[in-house]
Amino acid sequence: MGEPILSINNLTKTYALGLARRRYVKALDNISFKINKGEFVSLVGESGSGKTTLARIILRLTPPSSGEVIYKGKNVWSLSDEELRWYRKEVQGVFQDPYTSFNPFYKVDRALSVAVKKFLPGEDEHVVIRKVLESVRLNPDEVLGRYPHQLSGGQLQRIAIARALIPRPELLIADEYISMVDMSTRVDIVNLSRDLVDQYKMTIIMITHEMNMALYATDKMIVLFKGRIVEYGDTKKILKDPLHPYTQLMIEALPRIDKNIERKILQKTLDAQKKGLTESVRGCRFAYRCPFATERCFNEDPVLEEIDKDHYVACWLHNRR
Amino acid sequence: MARDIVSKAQDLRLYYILPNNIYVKAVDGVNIEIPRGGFLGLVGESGSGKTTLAEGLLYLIDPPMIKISGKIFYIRKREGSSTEYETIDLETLPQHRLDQLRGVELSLIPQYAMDALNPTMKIGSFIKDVARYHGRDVDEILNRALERFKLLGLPSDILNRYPHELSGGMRQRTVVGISTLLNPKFLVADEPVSNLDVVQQHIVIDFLTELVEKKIVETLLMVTHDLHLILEKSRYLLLMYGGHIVETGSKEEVWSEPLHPYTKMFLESIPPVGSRIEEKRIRGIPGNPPDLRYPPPGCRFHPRCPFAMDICRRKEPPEIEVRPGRKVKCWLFVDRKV
Repeated sequence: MGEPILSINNLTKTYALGLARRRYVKALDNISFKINKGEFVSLVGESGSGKTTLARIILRLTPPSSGEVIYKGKNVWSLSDEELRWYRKEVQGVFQDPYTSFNPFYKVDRALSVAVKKFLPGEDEHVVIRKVLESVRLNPDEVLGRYPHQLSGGQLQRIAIARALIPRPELLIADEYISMVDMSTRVDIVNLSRDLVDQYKMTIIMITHEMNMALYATDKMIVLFKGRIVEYGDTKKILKDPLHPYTQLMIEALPRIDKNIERKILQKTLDAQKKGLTESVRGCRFAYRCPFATERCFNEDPVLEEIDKDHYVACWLHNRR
Repeated sequence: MARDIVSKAQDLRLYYILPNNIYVKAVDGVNIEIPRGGFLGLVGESGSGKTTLAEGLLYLIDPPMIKISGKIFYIRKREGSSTEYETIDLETLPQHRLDQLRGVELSLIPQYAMDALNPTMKIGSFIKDVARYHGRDVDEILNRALERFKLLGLPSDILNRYPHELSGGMRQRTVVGISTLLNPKFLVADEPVSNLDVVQQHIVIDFLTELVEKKIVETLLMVTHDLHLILEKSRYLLLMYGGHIVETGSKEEVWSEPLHPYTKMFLESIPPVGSRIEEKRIRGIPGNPPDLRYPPPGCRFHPRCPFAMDICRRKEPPEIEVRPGRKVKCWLFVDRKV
């Protein structure tokens, strides 16, 4: 496999809150992982997990407090001007709300032609735009010449993906790009992403709170909880044998038709929340919700350890150290 | 039978009027009977008209929403009688009686509930206002609020807090609690768990289910785009597409034998837990939902329907009652000879 395309090394982001009494919140707490070229990766977490902060740091929209983002051997946060232009071409983002990604006063064509002029000067704009729209399975005649409000959320999100594809990027960061698309067409966006990875050897990081879609389509999964990685590895392995109680909770909580399925971890978490227990400051952040927590979990930070090939977990239940 | 139905709409058309005098036909000819009792779901995707219909059922009709046609009824037990029911045409009620009815017997958990609190008032003061307005004992209502907030996993000092001191998820749960304080008989909850994390979703759904099971709330109509959210707890479903109710039935019937092609394709578009793309590729519904300013003629779903026939493109399908309570609005179920 050679060099990973993206390495995240000990990344931390601290935000200061409050004016009089300053408090510090670690949105990301010493995160490390590697992604290989041609992988479809899901970064799963709920609000407050730090997943959007991570996306913004990779896209160079928010600086990290410490740690590194290494893309193809280069530190993303210390690039020369020329390297920065290269990086902006190689790494593209797609965001949550397609309606705010487009200027409502212009036809969608403009967003696409601006991207062609910027990234592919000299190429035939018309040809590139039609081709890229077809690659996201849109009929160019149905969407060109329209304003954003005349298109559905699904169509607009595909156009946003098409625009991101114009510079022929190697890495696509998709931050909650399906959450505002209609339920009945979400899976198509995920299928399309899968095909971009399989056919063009693209690398896609799908940031999502939808465990279901992540389990369905991705190669590798990173589960974040309160700014830390709790589990990471081959998605199929995680689907078959989720190790961290938080991952188990996320899978357990998925809705099913059966009326009385047992949800042991969820029940425990609900009880803890009703008792008003908040997260622990030391040790495992999930300990107070965890039905298996021991004394150690409340006091010592668990370390991310490879339990099985390509399957890592940060949990004292599995950790042998 | 009046006692089996809590709410009814006949030929209801609720449109939004845009500044350029174009109508958005959000609810366009709906006839429904909402069964009395239990946890019901009104399911539809964005732009299907479900929020408009939900507000319409409580007669919350304010510009730019206008009622073009139709009647909206609320059916309740006649006061002082244990067996007789009365059907109230909400349009004929004077405003003050409608206001009395709302909150007391009818209540709405509004969409975007986390933004529904008055930012200048502490939660406790807000609740006192609600109690006074409806002539209730303030202490009793405050105590009830504390009990409900506890069930919703909210801290005990919440009455002394301002909305901005709470997280979005806490504000949302607070509004859910407040909307139930007067023990409404018919509660409409519009996307009460969207924007909540999975644990909070379960807290809210379990809370609402408990109120229904204890008969504190007689009928709960939960409006949602996410059928899976209510799959476990609901008993009856109404599906909406393009301003029409396309299918109704018990949850089991709809789940195991969906009739309308939209329902069928909608259910098939969601990957089952544990399924993998290499084994079976799940397909979404091709095409796009209708633009309700210019809905297509005939059946609203025909441009996306693989079974569409000539008549589907020309004429709006009738509602076919397959069994009592089980309806579908689709030409495929009409005896072609008729």
